[in-house]
Amino acid sequence: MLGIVPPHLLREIVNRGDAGLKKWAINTITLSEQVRMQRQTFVETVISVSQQKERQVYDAQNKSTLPGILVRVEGGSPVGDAAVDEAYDGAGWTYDLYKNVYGRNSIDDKGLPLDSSVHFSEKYDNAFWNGNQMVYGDGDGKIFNRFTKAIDVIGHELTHGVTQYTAKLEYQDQSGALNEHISDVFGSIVKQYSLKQTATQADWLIGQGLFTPEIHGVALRSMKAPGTAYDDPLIGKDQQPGTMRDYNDTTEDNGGVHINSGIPNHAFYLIATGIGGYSWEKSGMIWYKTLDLLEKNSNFEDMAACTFEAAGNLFGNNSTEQESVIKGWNGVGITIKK
Amino acid sequence: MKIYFERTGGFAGIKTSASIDTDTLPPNESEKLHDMCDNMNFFNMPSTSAPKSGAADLFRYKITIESKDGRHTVETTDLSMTPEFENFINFLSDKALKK
Repeated sequence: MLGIVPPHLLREIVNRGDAGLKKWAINTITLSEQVRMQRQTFVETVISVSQQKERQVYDAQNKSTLPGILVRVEGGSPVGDAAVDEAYDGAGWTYDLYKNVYGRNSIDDKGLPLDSSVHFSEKYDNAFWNGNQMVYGDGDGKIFNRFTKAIDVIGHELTHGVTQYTAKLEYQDQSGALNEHISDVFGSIVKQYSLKQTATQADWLIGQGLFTPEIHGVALRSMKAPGTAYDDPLIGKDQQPGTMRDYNDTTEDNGGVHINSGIPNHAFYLIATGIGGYSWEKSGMIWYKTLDLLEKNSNFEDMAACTFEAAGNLFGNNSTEQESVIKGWNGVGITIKK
Repeated sequence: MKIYFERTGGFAGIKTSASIDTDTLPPNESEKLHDMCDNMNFFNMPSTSAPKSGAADLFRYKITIESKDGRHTVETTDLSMTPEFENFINFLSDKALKK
């Protein structure tokens, strides 16, 4: 095909064609006509093509080699495998939230493809972000269902990617707990956004629906009431604290990153319900802007100070929104050092 | 042979653990565990592995084995396991669930 289609025609296809044709034309331009094209035109068209989501879902076929076999691509129809279709839809909602509300074009703000692998390993009671993609297990069937069942899990994992490109919070101790917290916040926001719920209507639970009916528990975590999500002989009791007084100095879990996240989680719940309306609009915006103010070793006090600053930038110093931020952190035992 | 298995971290942050004394197991299970241990050359495995940058919500595993060959502890995550070690982990996770 190289050299057969003249450059002016390729340029027309780039401008008028659908996503598939655009991509082909650009590849062809790149390969054969780049030197003859205006560099500016080339750059502009590449940018305009990647201003949309690009989802790819893989089936790991119960092995642990990643990514597995490609089973669904962007624009493809549902395949009838619940894990595949849930991973696809959840990634879509998460992309849409970041793009429509915060103007962010995917994880890296440059249209990074959203890759997910499902059916990872056997009876795998987990989901994770490996630094490049999302990975989901099927659950063991006794304690856990498949991990794509809860949309906030998908939002949580994708948000680890966003944090990796913005705040870069180290996954250890307080900065690690903040990393976890931010994933819970935007995971919950994705769920509320998909259901069009206000902060008052939301349940503020993380991972609702993951436990089988055998387990005495409503979710994995509660931002509204940390420590109350589950209590069952098979898995123990929800260990999350809701105030700094109960901060857990454990060495497990990278210094309790999934445990101590309960404290900032509860602060966000207080702030979002204090401000009212849809949590993605004001509270979520404060938190999104805070990502650029944080550093990789920020602690809870730093986080509180950054949200205070972000709220001041967005809504003005001494605004009601900023007052709500102060109150929310006070509510978990953190006084903002202005 | 005594095996101490501990799994922490993960999205749920739930700790799962099991203590197994192969002397108390049915002979075929005991043999299976001994074979797995030999196949993965457990006592020569590195104690820790380098952390994967940017990764989050991985399971962290800590396995200690005591036998006539000595005592050794290995700490690892989902992303840094050989297939033999992964088999071993899945077998132990299963046992921990069933107790």
